[in-house]
Amino acid sequence: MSHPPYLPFLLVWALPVLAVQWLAGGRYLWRERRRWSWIVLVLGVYFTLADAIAIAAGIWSFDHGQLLGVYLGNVPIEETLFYLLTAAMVVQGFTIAWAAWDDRAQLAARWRRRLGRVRALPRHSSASTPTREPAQTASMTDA
Amino acid sequence: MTYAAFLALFLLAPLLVLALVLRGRLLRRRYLLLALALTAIALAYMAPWDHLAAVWGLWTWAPGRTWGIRLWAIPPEEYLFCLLEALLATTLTYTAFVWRRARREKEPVR
Repeated sequence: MSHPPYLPFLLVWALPVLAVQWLAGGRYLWRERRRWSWIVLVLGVYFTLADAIAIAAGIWSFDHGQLLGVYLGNVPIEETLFYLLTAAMVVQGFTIAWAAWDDRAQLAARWRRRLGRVRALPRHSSASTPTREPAQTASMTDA
Repeated sequence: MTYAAFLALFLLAPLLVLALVLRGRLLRRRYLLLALALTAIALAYMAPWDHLAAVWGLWTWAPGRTWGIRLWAIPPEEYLFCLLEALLATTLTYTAFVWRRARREKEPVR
């Protein structure tokens, strides 16, 4: 069966997650960039060193035909990228969630407002919606 | 060295060191909830991807270095790697946030 090599398989898997994290929590990630970026780098370096030992010990090995052919010692460059990207996904996820926890009251209010606005949209002259509107407009004005 | 020894040395040991540094702060609800949720998500997201790579033969594990069990095409050690890596990454980040708060509280009020 034909399949992608390691690098595109890795990027297709990891990059969408990072993109969603930056779209949803870019504000927090940028604000906290000095807090988390070095952790991603340290973990990338640390796991690359550990990987070199695992490969030398013969714990895991790669189909070299599916690699770029660039190595740091005995470690395929894809492995270093894998550790950087997986660390980034977890560390960024934690950073966003941690910061959003502080803002949870405002975030909840904002989403209630948005939902209220969607519900308040006129719906094909339906008779059921007007009865709910007073409550919705009240929640829209309180913030 | 077996995969299990590798996990003990490069993942469990640094986690233990972090646990000794953090001690009681490890029991805070916010950290526990976030670390647990992110680790669960990491495991669920990694498993099908790793399984496919193993089926395609992008990487393989040496029979004598693993316990020999497979869940899908993946040895249980690999799930543990993912779990411990996610825990290490979240706990390190948490440590950075804890340190910042400690530093802020020491600073004189401006």
